[in-house]
This record gives sequence, structure tokens and C-alpha cells, in this order.
Amino acid sequence: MSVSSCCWLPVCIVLLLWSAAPARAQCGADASSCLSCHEVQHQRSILSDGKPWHVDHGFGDLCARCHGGRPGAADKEGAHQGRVDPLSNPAGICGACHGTGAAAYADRYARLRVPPPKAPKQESEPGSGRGSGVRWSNIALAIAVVLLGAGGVLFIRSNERRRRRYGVPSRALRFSAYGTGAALGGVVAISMAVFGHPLGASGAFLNLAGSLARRIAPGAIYFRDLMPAGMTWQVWVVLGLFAGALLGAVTRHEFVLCSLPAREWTSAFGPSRAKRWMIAFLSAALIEFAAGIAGGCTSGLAISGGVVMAPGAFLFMGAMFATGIPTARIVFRKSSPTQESP
Amino acid sequence: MSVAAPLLIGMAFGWLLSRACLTKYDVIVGVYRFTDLTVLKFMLSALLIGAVLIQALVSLGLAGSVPVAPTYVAGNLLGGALLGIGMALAGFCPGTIVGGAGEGSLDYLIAGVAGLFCGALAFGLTYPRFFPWLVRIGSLGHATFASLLGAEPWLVLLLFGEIVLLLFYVLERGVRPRAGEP
Repeated sequence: MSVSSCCWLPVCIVLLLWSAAPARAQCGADASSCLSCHEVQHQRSILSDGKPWHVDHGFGDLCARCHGGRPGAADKEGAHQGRVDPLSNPAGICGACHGTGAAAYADRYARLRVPPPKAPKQESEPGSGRGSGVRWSNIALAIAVVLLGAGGVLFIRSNERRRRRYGVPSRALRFSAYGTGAALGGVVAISMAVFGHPLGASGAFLNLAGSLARRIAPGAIYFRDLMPAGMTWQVWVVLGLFAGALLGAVTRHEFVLCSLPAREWTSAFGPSRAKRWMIAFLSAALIEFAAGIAGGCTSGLAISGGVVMAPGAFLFMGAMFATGIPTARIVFRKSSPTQESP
Repeated sequence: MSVAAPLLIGMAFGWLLSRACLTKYDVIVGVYRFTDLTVLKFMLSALLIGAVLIQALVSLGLAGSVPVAPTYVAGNLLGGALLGIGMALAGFCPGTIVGGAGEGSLDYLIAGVAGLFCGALAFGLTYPRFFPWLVRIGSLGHATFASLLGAEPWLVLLLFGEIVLLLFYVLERGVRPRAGEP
């Protein structure tokens, strides 16, 4: 790999940070600041209050549709300006999505509504970790850290002794998986902490599909109201992805036009291009649908969610392997085992 | 919205995916067959370094508002299960489809991208029928492990880091070698 092809990466990072306008209260063009303060920062969590209207509408970023306000504002006063009573105008507020059934929905909620409690003072949320002092969970974690650390060190020492005793040769460390992974961690951190966007690929296709859907199915609520259409941040990221991979392949002299994966695919599926394209098409459709269900794909959920320690990301990864491993077994059950590569 | 930032971020992403060979069928399927663990090493490295950097920026007060992916158990599990099937079958995921397309793989560029587009359309059009009730099952909102446990985020990261580093050690050096074994 030539010097020039690695040099442009840090140059880009510098350009990127220089052009950064860090997100403050809002998460970015397609995320509500309502959620970022109320839910992510745990300032008066609303969505888990169990009220039927929040249970029914808690997904997506629907806060402003019922409550008004200015989700894009950078502070609390600005965000709360222009709030309305959600039941003050059923035809206008509920009717925007629910059409002619709006009055009935509003009636049902009005009957269930009790006067709201006085807004609580900024309580120190148990989840914030701030000022938590000595909590059982911190103690338990600290014990786990110490035990695992001590146990790990002892294990490594005894393992290394065994290796030396039996003269086990060391395999050369192939750095590229760790190094590129770590570098991606840096890119994800910049994307999320500086620009307030998760780093994902599946969202872009929902945005692009939205452009078509608004023409052929204008009544589809998801594309009309919930998912922005057209050239969003995510779409530009995906375009950059394409360009970056192209650039990488070209500079490594590995750009090759081909229509079948080399090696392993043919050993399991045979040489038919049509078969590959059909399976690729159907699998891609399944993958994108699945990403919609889960809330992201390997980059948008597993990595971008994992770096903020969201449990959903780890559940997602676990499930991915739980089905991927048997699927690969079934696919390759008749093929001869491959040469192991690290 | 300036397009320079997302373009550059995407380019770095694509360049790294290509460099790590994650745009190749063999490498993706290899992790599910335990013959090539590049995917695991790549993802865990990204998670560890990314998590530490983000938490450091947050602790130093240099970060804006960091988005936290919502946890809703049924959706996360079901989506992951379906994605795992597709990924093990075709050897790609949305990001690597685009990356592989950039490297000249026409099956990724045409069949893969078309499939992603159709899957997205299908998801959006069927959304109202199933998603609103699915998302409520096991919904923890924008939870993090630290917030669920009421624990200090750095402690969670420390434990995570230990687990990942130990796993890396085991992947590279093996466990309890016997004489004559590599």
C-alpha cells in the first residue's frame, strides 16, 4: 500500500473536524431534540410513563406532531416554544395521520387523561451515573472488573508458560483487522459525538425508497411522515462509502469487475451467475427489511449502538450470529472444509 | 447541511471496509464458519475504540448530544435473526454491499443494491401493520447498560474492554496448548 493512499485518510479527518458544526441539543436533521433531552439524557423520561398515548405513539420521533414545539431548537426554552395541548385540535393534530377517525381517538384519550402532575424538579436520575456515589451496581461492576482482570492476567501468564514449555510457534499478528477496526471506531466516534449521527448504511436506502414511495404510494405513513426522503446525511455517507471503497480498491490495484464472488461461493452454490444474482437480490431485500425491524444494520445498530453500550445492539449481534452460524453450516454442509485463515 | 462531512465520513468508512476485506463474500461467511474471524476482530476493535473515544469526549464535555439506538427486545432480536440469515447466505450486509459495489463486484452493485431498495420499500409499505406493536415489546427506550444498572459508564466500559482484550488474546494465542499443537 503506497504512502499516498494512507496519507489522504488523516487529511480527510482534519478537513472533517475543521468543517464540523457540533450538534448540541439536537441530534441532527432527522432526530428530534425532544428525545435527546427527555429520553437520552433522562431529563423527565416520558416514553416509559405508561400513558396510553405515549405507548401508542412512542416510536419514531412523533413528539412534535402532538405537542408542537420546535424540536430543532438548541435549548429547552426554544424547544418548548409553541407547544400546544395535544387534544386541543383533534381534526388538525390527530387528523393529520388518522384522517376521519381522529375525533374518536381524541375522545378516548380525553376520557383517560387525568390532570398532569406538577413537573418534577430536575431529579438526579438513577440512570445518569452522575453523583451516583456508592451504588450496588458500581460495586458489583468493580468486583467483576477486578476479578476478570486478575483472572485474565493469571490465565495469560499460565497460557504463555505452556506455550513456551511446548515450544508452540507464534503466529504472525495480522494487524489489518484490528487496525482498520480501531480506525473505524474513530470514524464512528467523530460521526456520533461531533456530528450527532450514527454511522449506518441501511437508513440511506429507506430515504431513497422514500423518494419513490412518495410518488407511487403517497398514503404510506412511514415514508410520508416518519422517514425523510431524498438526499439525507445517510445518503451522502453511502455515496462516500462507495467512493472510498472504490478509491481503496484502485490504489491497492484490487479493483476487478466481476459478477460472482471468487472461491467459496462456487464451492457451495455452483458457477451459475443467475443463481448468485437471485440469491444476492433476495438476501439483500431480507437484510434491509431486517434492518428496518431492528432499527439499523451491522454499522447503524451493532456498531453505532454498541459504542454507546445500548443493549439492543448486543441483542442484535447475538441474534445475527445465532442464525448466521447454522445458516452457514447448512449452506456448506456438502463442501469440503476450507483452509483456515486467521 | 454541508455534504462535505458525511461524504468524508462515508469515504473513510468505505476505505476501511475495503482495506479490511469485509467487502468479500469469503470473509463475511468465514466468521459464521469460524474459518476467518476478521469480522469479529474488526467489529470488536471498532466497538472498543469507539466506545472509549465517545465516553472520553462526553466526559470532557466536548461532545454534542450523542444518539443512543433504542432498545426494543423483540425487534432487535427478530431483525438480527433475519439479518444473520441473509448475511450468511449472500456474504454481505448493507454497508459491505455498497463497498463491494465500489470494488467492482457487479452482483453487489446491481443485485445487492436493487435488493436493498426493494427491501426498504417493502418495509416502509408494511410498516403500519406490524411495527407499532412490535416496537413496544420489551421496549427499554434509549437505554444504555450504564443507565439500566444505575452504574458509572466508565466501569461498564472497563469491563467491556477487559472482555474484548481477553477474547483477542484467546483468538491470537489459543487456549491451553498441548505439545505439538499450533
